[in-house]
Amino acid sequence: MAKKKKTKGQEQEQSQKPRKKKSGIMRKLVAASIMIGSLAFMPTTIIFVLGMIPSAVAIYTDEDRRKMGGLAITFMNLGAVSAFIKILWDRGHSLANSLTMLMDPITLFVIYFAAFIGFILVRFIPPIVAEFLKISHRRRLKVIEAEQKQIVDKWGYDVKDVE
Amino acid sequence: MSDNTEQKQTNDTDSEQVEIAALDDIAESALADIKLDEAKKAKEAELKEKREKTVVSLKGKFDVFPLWELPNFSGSMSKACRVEDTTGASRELIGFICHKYFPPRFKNFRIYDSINNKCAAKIVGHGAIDWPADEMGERYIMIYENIYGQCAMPDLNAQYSPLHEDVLAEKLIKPITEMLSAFAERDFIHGAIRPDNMYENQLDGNRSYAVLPRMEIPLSSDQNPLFEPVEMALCPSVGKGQGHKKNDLYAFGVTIALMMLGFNPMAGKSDEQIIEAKITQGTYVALLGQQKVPSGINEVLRGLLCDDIDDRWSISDLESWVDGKRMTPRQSVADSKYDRGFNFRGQSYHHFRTLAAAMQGHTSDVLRIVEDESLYKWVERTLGHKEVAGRIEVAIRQAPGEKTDLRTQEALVSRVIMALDPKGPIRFKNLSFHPEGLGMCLLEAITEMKNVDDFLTIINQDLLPFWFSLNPYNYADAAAMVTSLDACKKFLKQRAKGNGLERCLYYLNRDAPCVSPMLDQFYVTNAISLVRALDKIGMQETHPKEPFDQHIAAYLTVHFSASNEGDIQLLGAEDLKERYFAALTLIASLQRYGEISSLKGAGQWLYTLMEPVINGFHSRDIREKVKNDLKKIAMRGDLIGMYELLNDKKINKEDLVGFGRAKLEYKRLSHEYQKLDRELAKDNAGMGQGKQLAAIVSFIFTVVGLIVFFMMNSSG
Repeated sequence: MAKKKKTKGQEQEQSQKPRKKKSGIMRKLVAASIMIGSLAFMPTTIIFVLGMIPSAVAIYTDEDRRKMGGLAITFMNLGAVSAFIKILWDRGHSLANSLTMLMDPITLFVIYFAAFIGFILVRFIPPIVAEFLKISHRRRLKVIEAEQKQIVDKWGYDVKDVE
Repeated sequence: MSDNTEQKQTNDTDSEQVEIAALDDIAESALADIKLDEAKKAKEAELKEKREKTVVSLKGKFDVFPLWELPNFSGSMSKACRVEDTTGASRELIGFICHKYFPPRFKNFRIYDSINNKCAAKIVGHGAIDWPADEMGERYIMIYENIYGQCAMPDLNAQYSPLHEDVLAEKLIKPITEMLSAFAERDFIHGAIRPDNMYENQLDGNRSYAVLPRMEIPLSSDQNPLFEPVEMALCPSVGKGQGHKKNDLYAFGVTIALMMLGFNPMAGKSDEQIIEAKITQGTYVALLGQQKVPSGINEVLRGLLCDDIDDRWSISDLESWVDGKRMTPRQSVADSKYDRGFNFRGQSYHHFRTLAAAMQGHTSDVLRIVEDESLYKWVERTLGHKEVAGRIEVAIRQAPGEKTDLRTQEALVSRVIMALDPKGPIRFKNLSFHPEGLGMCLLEAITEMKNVDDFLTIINQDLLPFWFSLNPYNYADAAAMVTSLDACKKFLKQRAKGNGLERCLYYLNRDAPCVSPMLDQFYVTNAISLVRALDKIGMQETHPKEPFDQHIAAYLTVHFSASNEGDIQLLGAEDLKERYFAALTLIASLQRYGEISSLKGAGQWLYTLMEPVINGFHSRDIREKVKNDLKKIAMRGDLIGMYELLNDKKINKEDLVGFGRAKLEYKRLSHEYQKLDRELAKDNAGMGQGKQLAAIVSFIFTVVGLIVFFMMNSSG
């Protein structure tokens, strides 16, 4: 039996190793592609990296497992960055244009303001939603209580004896 | 002078006043007497009117006048009363009110009915009637044809004109022999042949005597010990059992002797003295030893008065004698008398049977003579009676249980008495009875609230099998009796409802009425009359809470046990639902069995008990519906309907399935509640969803913003 188990475990390990290897290679390929892409599109990369700093901070500081707060800021932030990348591409995809745009305070202000709007959304929407949900839950609890009372009234207290 | 005159005048006046006062007193006392007479007459007239107006109908065929007693026919255990036939048949009738507890001889009714003899009056009807004389409720009545004229000897201690030999033969011996012959053909024992139960027969113009059947009381229960052989005379009224068919011939012999003499030679003697005389002298000598007996009658008397059953004339011997064949009967031999007597409690005994009779009720004295072996030594060494000594040895050896146990000791005494007098009855402490009389003795003890523990000992100590092993007469029913007692032993061990001594009572007395205190006002003779009685009790304003007690349960186990013993046992269940449903099941079964259309009283009574059963349904709606329907059915007295409603498979299934579903739904809701409650208890409740919404809103804003930007950019 023990032998068999060992064999099973070994088989599992053997089957998992190529996958890990595969995913590791894929990751490396993606990272390499991104690196190459970043270097190839350096003006865009500069605007993107500097513009997306609030998102990086937001995602890093978001303690929620699903990072929904960070994601909300990221969407707004990314929208603004996308707009400026479009402008960069319209003006000419050059490092000079890229730096010129970054030197213009309006650019970073707009980008960071968009991220700030995202932050505002994250700050105010969840409490409102939570309050709505609480009200809804409380209402549901009352409904459940009433339904249970009806069941007990109809079938007696024995109905509560749940094994 | 004037003073003297005045004095004289004063004296005269005083004497006159005294005379007047005396006259007043006489007048007053005369008036008081007249008033008393008038009151007495008025009371008599009132009683007469009452007895004539108090009429109860039996089955619409007979008018019974329970207060109109016919003292000439009344016995010590039954009262005779006037009865009229309302069917138009012109016949004289006589009714007998049975004892409240001791039953008539139901088992023998059919046999007796099949006997056609002019000296045996026919039973024309019987049944329970409402008894208005006191507050006794129902009583059982037996109605016979009244063929009876003047009683032969109403008082056994009085002197009457003796019957001549020829008259005796023609008027008494011949007709009664024919009657006894008819009885013997059907193995019927009469048990009440005696001169004070013998009347001139009006059917044949008083040319013969007829005997009252006395079927209204247990066999021989009112027989005088004078007319019974020793072994029967030693029993009290109800413990005599079936007896031997030759006992009627013995009683007939004594009857012939008394009517021949016109008086009772043993008048004035106590029962004990009569029994002792019969043991020590033999019946013939004790009764007729001092009398002059005509030679023609002497033969039949010697034959019939033989104390030993085997030597006693049989009915065929008597018939042969009546037909003119002359026989020489064996001499009646008294019990052996031993010269060297045995001293017991300061008195010397020379007969085993008298010693045995003296021992009864003296446990400690008997134990002493058993332990010091003085009794054994007297029998074995002094008298050299090996057989009796052997019996005593067996009696001592066979005592089961601890020798120091009181019950064992009492049983041992009983066995020693049996060993000394194996023909005699079973004697245990103050009880004396023949095996078939055990049940009746138990009935007496229970109804008279006596100690019944003795019966437990009698049954558990196997006294009856021991008696059968010693008794010289072959009892045809011995095996059946022993089997019955084994069954009784089992009933005593079982603790479930319907067992115990009460079950033994009804098992041993199939004819006994149910003597439950609850049925005190009723005469219950079978399961159907029991349910009818319960119905009547249910109609009363106040009645016990439950319709069953230990007696009723035991009675039903014997009389209605075919397939209901389980339900009867459930009557003792702790769970009220089971208990009351079992009660309903039983009464409904009885209603079906008896084909009784309506039992309104029982229905309403049981309805009040059905709450735990109704509460057995889970659904309140079903409960309410069943309760309403049950009430309507109960009001109709349809217990079968009540049972069927509560046992309806469709309703029960609907209830169970619905309950199962409701349980699951409740469980689901509980889980949901707990989940929501847990969420509400969290500090950041709903924040996750809020952030999710914020992300979505942010995404929409971004997409919309980008679309607007691109559109503006492309147009600009």
